[in-house]
Amino acid sequence: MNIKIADSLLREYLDTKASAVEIAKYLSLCGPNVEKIQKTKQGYVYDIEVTTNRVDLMAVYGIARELSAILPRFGIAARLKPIRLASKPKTKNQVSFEVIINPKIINRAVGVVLGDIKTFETPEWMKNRLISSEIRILGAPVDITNYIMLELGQPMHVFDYDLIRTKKFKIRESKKGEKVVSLDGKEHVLSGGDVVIDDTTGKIIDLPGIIGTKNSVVNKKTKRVILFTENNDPVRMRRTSMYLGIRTLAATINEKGVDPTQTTLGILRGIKLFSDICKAKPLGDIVDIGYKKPEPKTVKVNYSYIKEFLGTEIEKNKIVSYLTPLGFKAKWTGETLDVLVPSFRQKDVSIKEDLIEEIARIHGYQNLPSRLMSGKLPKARSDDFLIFEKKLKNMLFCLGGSEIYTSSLIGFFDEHAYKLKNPMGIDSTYLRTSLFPGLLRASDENRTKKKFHIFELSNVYLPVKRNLPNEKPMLSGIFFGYEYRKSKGVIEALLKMLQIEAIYEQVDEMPFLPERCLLIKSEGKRIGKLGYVDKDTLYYEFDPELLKKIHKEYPKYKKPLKYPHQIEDITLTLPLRTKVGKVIDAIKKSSKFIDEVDLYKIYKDNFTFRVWYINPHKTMTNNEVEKIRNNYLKEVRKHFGARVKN
Amino acid sequence: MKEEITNLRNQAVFRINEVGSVDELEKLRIFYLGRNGKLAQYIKAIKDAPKSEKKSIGVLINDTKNVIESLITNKKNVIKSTVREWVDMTLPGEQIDTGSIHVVTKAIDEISRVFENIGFVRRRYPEVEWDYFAFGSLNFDKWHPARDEWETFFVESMEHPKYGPMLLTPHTSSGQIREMQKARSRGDDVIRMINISKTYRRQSDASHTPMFHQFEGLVIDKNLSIANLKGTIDYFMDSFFGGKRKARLRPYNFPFTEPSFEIDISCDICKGRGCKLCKEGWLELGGAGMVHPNVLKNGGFDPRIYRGFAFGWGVERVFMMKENLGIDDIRTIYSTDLSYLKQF
Repeated sequence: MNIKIADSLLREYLDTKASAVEIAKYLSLCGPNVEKIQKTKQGYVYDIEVTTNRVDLMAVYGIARELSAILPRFGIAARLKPIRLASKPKTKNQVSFEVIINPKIINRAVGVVLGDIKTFETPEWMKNRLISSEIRILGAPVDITNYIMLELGQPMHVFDYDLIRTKKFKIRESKKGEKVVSLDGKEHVLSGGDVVIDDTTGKIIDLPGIIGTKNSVVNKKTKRVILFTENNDPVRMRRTSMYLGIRTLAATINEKGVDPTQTTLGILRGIKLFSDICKAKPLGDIVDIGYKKPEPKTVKVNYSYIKEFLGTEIEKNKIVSYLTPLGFKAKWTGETLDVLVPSFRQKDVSIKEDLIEEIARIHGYQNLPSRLMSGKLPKARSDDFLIFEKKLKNMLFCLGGSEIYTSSLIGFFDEHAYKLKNPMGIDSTYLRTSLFPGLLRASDENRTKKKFHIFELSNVYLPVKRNLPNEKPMLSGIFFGYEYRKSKGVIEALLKMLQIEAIYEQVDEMPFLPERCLLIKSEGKRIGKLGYVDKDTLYYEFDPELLKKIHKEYPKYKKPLKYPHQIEDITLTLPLRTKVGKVIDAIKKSSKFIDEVDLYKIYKDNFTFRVWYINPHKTMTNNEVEKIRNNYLKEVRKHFGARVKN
Repeated sequence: MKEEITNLRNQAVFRINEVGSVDELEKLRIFYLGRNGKLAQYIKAIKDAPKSEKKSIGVLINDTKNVIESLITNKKNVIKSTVREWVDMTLPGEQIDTGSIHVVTKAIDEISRVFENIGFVRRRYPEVEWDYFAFGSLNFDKWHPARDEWETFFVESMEHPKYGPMLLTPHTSSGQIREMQKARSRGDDVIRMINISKTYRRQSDASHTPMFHQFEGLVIDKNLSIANLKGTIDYFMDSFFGGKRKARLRPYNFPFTEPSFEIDISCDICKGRGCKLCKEGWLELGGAGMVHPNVLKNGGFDPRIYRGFAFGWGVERVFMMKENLGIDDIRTIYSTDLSYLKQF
């Protein structure tokens, strides 16, 4: 969460000669990060990112306190100035109101009635500071509440006292379907369980901690106001605010859990500002309901632990000097540091590591040493598959493939796929069970490129009953605009590089066109498939885990052959619709002396094969080759009607 | 006369060698071997030579004629064949398809290499996780905003009786407890792991995509300090960015580390002036911190004996900070347009 603070407002609470640029730089290094520093008509404005554990920094006073600890570390003096408060009112004529709370949903409620409002005009200096923080100007009573929120981080509200007929606040849970109109005129339907203020007649007069309602808002005719604030249940605050989409600064602060000891501070500061600006005065005593004072909290840490943890030594008195300006009361007893945690830090400081963080950051992370760890190495090794995966990607890269990443989240494709409860869009609702839809989409986007080969090696998410999905890596790709033999050649080359001997089987299978799918098998397992999904698009996929299992990283060494191959080309005329793959298989199978058969050339129905003969024990004679040749020619004539050309 | 003939031969050998065209060669042939050529003149002169030398002069002339003839023939062939086999070396080569490796893969490889050099092992832990591993065991309180459905994707499924709802992990930190459990099960009490996986968050803008990659470092040992965390980060920065960029550690807050840091690196795109991707010239690389004692405990490591540190950064974010890369919108990285992909 971010807060914008005018430099002039910060200096109301911090006495320092540091420049705005210095403040931004050093605050970022040791405290909350100043994301931007802007020069505006109203002067410098800091845009500060505050972490959720430090709601005390969503206020000028908290930032000033941090700086009073940080700036001296950079040699710049800085002093935190006190908050100017009114003293507790003591009036004779009690104009008051009653507050009824449900302690389960609210920790503390404080308010006071103020009257005799003489002016509704907000002074320029206050306007400028509110504008710097991007807060709308709405007239003095509301502006004062917003200004206090900026100063102290205590969201406040004012009601028109005379618009509340019952003079009673009942703080209760909303019922589902109840409606409210917020002060900006928008109607909201509540989901139930929201914290609301009811005037005891069933009418909702406020969404406390989030936004005011139209029916109780102050206006120019207002004579008397109730200045009111409460300490809320942060969980309900976030739920209501997110559900209704009302992300006010008040809601952002309240959903983080505000320090309940500071609630009255807001009221006392309010009485002071109302009296200074509106010339108003309190008409009764402060109403304060539900407050339970938090138990004091102490944390101890040992000196040697600090030293080991930081990897360096910081003097004991320095440690105390770092913690004191932050509001901690720190004392050394021998080697033990006893620290009393201030109320506004009780939520985030509980263990010794929390204290070490405070010490280390004020000391400055930039001042800590930097050295790699020594010590023994783990027994574990990197996951084997990740190494293989990289190898596969590199092979496809070398074979001309372009790697792509498509989203794991896709539109409807497989009814069994895991579905998201809260997707961002209809086309990113399911966890993919196949890489196919994503690749096809990518391929369609690139159709103007005429010819390409894309591939992806990523997880798919296969359903498992009552458990997390099986996150299974898949390797898929698309050849677009490739001649069939060129694309199949790439697949064959990949398998060859992996030293996998594959057999192919032409089948009918979805999502391929009829009879346009080829199964790829090895060692009796189906390792992949390829086929046409439209006339220009050849899709393939492999199970990379199986590839890893079957491939040979270090095949058994074979001695080079002593005798040369006899190589001859033979052209066969094949009848229409002969499957050439089967002819080659038949030739290979016909003799153990045939080492390899390649398809060398195709011209019309004439297929030239290059046949490699080998006998490991001798050089083959022409006579021997002729015998083998005649044998397979007989075979292919018989089975395929193949005839030798010429 | 013998001497003259020998000189003539030497001269002829030299001149034939120097000739560059067939025409010139023909002129030389006529000059030496023609009907009224040099050799013919010597043949005519034989009759005036002393009788005892006549025979040997004849042999010499004949030899010379043979030599010149064969030289001319050879030279003619050389000149002719050069002309016949004219080659255009400027012809373009036959097109071979060249592939490309995705930048995210490249970044992951480079990051892995850096950490493997200092003894880290590479892991990939689940993307679809139980709440327990993503949040519960990491010390997130029950109502932490990251756990609500405005920030994290949830999967429609039964809740696990022990581990809670199923979700898409918003960070690689969910691998921390899994690695600790794994180490314990193999009897190891030292961890140096780098988990690189896909992660998911419900956001999309110039610096966020709903799906992205993170790398998570986790180191557990006795006697680790913040100095070791700094040392590791500095080592990475130097190796990955070549020592040219500045880094800074800032205080931050994560439930699973204490203390927590955010690491910033000086922005290369605007050279520190401030741009749409960075904040006042600094780009957030990601978080880091000392492992929270509760997390150590949840992973089976006694926090009184062991300490740990961890960091989890965006792969794309780190890669985009590479010098001169010039990608200023993370969504560009996941473009499937080949004219982008082919650049890498």
